[in-house]
Amino acid sequence: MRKVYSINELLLDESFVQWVKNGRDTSGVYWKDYLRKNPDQKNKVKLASQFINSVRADQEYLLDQAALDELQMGIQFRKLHKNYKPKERKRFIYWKVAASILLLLTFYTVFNYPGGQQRASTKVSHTPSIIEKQTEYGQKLTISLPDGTLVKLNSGSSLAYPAAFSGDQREVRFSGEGFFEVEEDPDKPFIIESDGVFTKVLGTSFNLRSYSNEGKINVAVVSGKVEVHQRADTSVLILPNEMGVFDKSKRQITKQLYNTNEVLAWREGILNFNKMTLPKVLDELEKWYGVKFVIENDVRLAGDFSGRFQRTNLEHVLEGIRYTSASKFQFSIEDKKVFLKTE
Amino acid sequence: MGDRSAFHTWEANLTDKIDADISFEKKAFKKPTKANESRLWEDFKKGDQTAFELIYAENANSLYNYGRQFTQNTDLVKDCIQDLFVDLSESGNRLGNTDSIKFYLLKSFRRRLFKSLKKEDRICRISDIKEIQLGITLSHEVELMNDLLDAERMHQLKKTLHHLTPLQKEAIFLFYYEGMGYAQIADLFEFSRVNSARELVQRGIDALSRLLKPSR
Repeated sequence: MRKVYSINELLLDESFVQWVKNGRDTSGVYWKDYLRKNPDQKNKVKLASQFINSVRADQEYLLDQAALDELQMGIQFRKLHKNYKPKERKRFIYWKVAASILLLLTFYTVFNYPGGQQRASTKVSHTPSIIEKQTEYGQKLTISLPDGTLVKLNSGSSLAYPAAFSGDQREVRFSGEGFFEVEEDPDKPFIIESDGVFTKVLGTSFNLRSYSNEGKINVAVVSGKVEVHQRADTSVLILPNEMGVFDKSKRQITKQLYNTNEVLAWREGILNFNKMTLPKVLDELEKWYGVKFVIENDVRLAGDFSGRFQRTNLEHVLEGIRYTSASKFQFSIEDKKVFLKTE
Repeated sequence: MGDRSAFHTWEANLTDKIDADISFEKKAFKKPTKANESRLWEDFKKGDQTAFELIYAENANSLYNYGRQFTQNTDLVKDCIQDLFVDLSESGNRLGNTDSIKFYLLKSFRRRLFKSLKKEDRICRISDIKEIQLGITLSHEVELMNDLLDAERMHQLKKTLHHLTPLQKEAIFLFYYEGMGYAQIADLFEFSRVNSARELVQRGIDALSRLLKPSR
């Protein structure tokens, strides 16, 4: 058969998709043969494979080992005690808890609106309605803006944007960490305000890190061009593979190269530490897992830590840190709190 | 030209990457063949504890990931997983046969999940739930690794994916991420024709096709 497949046909072919995903399968022989007989089709096959391997859920959810075990125990228990009716019991507790949380939430929002940020300038635009999206610690979120721009928010971040971009600029307000893929529009520059620093782009993708409790704001450019300025005067142009660093105390912007693996790893669900001091590591873990560390006074957090974790639960990460770093501690996890004690 | 060796390296990399993609939890596992799967399922039906633990370890998290795409209610999803395994364990020999345990579980789980969602949220139809949209996207790792799809095109692809219908997104997720076939997807969605599943994926892919051309 002298059949040549278009990319579409490859992508829709069940046996091709299974071959790409499974590596070795009964249909593998057919496709290997196809490639051998049609070497000019290599690029199409490569592209189709690339696409197939890239598709995934926007947000991946995993249960850690403790939760998996607990769930399994629940199953075993119910298998043994057939008369036990946990559903009704659980429901009962749900309602009580849900009611009290609802009450708490009402008080919280009434007294803490808007946005929960304790920044000085909360100048909200008065024209179209403003939408504000936030992520908690331990949460990530992808947002699509009215112009097609995509923003992926890391934990503990917020983005405020208008329901429609009117006027000659597209303005948003941001805090935390996010990866921006800005829709190209040469007539309407895209401007992000964060803690008094303005980042202006025309059409580009970059990572912006601007947490209120950190001393620096980082803009790491992947593609396109980004202009960073603080007041009307000094502005710095940042190109692909460069990172602009705004030092909040020195109030100046410098440029440097950055390591993609370190700066962008979070988008893939990869936790990356490169010679990071322990207090900073714990800070990152708090954000990533949505937990709070409670550290006993005599625990020494010395030295620094380097490591890379993908789809790993908190226990394993802490074990890793314990064994390889100079710090000595014991840990126990209770709900959303992690207790560190001396050994 | 270095072309030929580059191609062989790519093919080796592709297989390596596929192997590496098997997450660390699954490292102890061999990729199940259809015969293995049937046997494992038979043992499970008979009440074999090891078979149960194996099936649970292999599938609990992907069920959880799938369920959480539709709701933020973690307890509801966990309950559905628990109910699923309890009911399956109790059914024993009354269960059907299968050579794809993942698919069998997913189908039963999905039905349970949507039933629970309707009850908990007191909604009439699945299409009423605005926020339960399975979001799909493209992994950036691939973007960094290769230049056949440049950054701009990745962005356009992701944008298009973002705007597909919920059912198209789910079909694409199941077809490419979970590696399910058209017949299984049609069964899962309770379509009367297998082709309906293929059409669903096709509509999504057609929307992307003009963006999927090699840049060189």
